[in-house]
Order: sequence, then structure tokens, then C-alpha cells
Amino acid sequence: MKTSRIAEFGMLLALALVLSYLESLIPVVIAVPGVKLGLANIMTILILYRMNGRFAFFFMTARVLLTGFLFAGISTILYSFVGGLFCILVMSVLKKSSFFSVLGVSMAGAVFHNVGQILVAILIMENAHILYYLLVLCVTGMASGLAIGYLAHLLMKQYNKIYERNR
Amino acid sequence: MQDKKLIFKKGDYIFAMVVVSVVLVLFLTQLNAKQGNQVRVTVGKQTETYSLTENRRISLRGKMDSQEQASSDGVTNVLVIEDGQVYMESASCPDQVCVKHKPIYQDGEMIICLPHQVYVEVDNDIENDIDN
Repeated sequence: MKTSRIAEFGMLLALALVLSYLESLIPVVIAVPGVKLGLANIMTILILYRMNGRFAFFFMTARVLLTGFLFAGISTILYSFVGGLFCILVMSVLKKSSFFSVLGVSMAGAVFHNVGQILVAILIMENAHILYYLLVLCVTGMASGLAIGYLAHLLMKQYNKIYERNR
Repeated sequence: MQDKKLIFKKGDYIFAMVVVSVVLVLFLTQLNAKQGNQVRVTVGKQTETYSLTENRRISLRGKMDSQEQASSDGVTNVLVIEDGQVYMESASCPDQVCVKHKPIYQDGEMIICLPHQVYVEVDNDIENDIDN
């Protein structure tokens, strides 16, 4: 692993933590567990596109552990981790096939993040009725995934420009 | 390398279409929900049933987070049944998602407190209907 890559990884991880913190300041508008913007996912997408799925997995794991201990509370770590795992798996598979743009990759990532979280909730609470929450979460996940995908696209354009210039 | 212009690709549309149609179909099956008449409260693995027509306040002792400072008696959530509706009056978790949830009264509606593993569901007991 090149030193520049380590530095880049660390910088983006720090940025993701700041975004997670920013997001925790935004008051919850819709009171359904799991509905959120997922700002930090911009950084995960950046890592996925600039590096690869394996890096994105390490990135997500580090981010989930750190935000879990810093802001979100330990009980949320399992939910975030499984959600993140589903998200990364789906995103890296879709990214490899050329049928999807960043928008689609991000949308699918968001939806499958919710799928993962709901599965954990079902296993922990031993109650399959929670599955109905997935209806709401799919809709909100699509919307936030679209927004996050677009932001990631905008950021990536600038980021790559700056990165090439400073090579 | 990333394109300068951002365009939706075929797969994006297909994915969006599939999710939207699945959600629509499932949503339509949920539309004809009836007024419920009882409340099932599950804490951990124990379930208790209360009537929706009796007003009452229920203290629940859910699972506590190691980080959390709950009140000394171990009560994590307070559930209120009032005028045929159920809502969570208070909870000691940081996110307060269950407290912000709107009051529920229809068959199948639920309030969930994930950190405390508390699950509240309204349902319609058929036996009760016959008795009435």
C-alpha cells in the first residue's frame, strides 16, 4: 500500500467522521428508525470509485466503529455494520457491471443498507413484522441515495481534478 | 474514469422501477387496515396484551445499553394508551425515535424502540369482535 494512499484513506475517513457528526446535529424529521441522509456514504462511494471494494469495506468498518463509539451509541454498531456490509457488497457488484451510474450505485447501496439493518432488527427482536418498515425505508433510501450519489458525483469531479494537478 | 456529464444509465432506471413497483404493490395490500382493538407489547422475549379501549400508562423495563444511565428502577420506556391510541411517552435512549413516532391505532401499526428491544403493535383480535 502506497503512503499516498494511506494518507488519502485517512483524510477521507476523517471527513466521513465529520459528516457523521454533522448529520447527528440534523434533527430527525421522520420518526422511522433508519431514515437518514447518510452523508458519510459520499466518502464510501469516493473510496469505492478511487480504490476498490476491499478498501471500501475496511473504510466502512473503521467508520462504523469510530462513529459508534463517538456519537451514535454502541448498540447501533451492529445495525450499521451489517447495513454497511450489504451496502458495500451491492455497490461494488453494481459498479463492476457497466449498467449503472454513480446514481444507481448509490441508490442501490442506500436501499440495501436498509435491508441489512432491517434483517438485524428482525433477528434481534425475533419479529418479522418489522419487515413492513422496509417499505418506508426503501422510498426514503432511494431519495437519499439519489441525493448522495449526485453529491458524490460532483465531489468526485473536483476531487479528481485537484488530485491530478497535485500529482 | 468518471464521465464529465452525469447521465442515468439503463440499470439505474431498472433498479428504481423494480423497487418502486415492489413498494407500491406491498403498500396497496396494506391500505385496507382496520382500527385495532388491542395492543401487544413485547419486551425482549416477553409479550403482554392490553386492551386499546382502556386508558392506562405502562412502565416498560427494556434492555439497557451499557452506556446508558437509566432511572434507578430500571424503567426504560413509558407507554401510554389513551382514547384508543397508543404512544410512547418517554424513553431513556439517546435517539428518541419511538417518542417522536405518531400515536398508533390501526391494525398492524407499530412503534419500535430498537436500543431497548421494545416492540409495540396494534392488532385486531377476532375473538373480541365476536364477544362484542
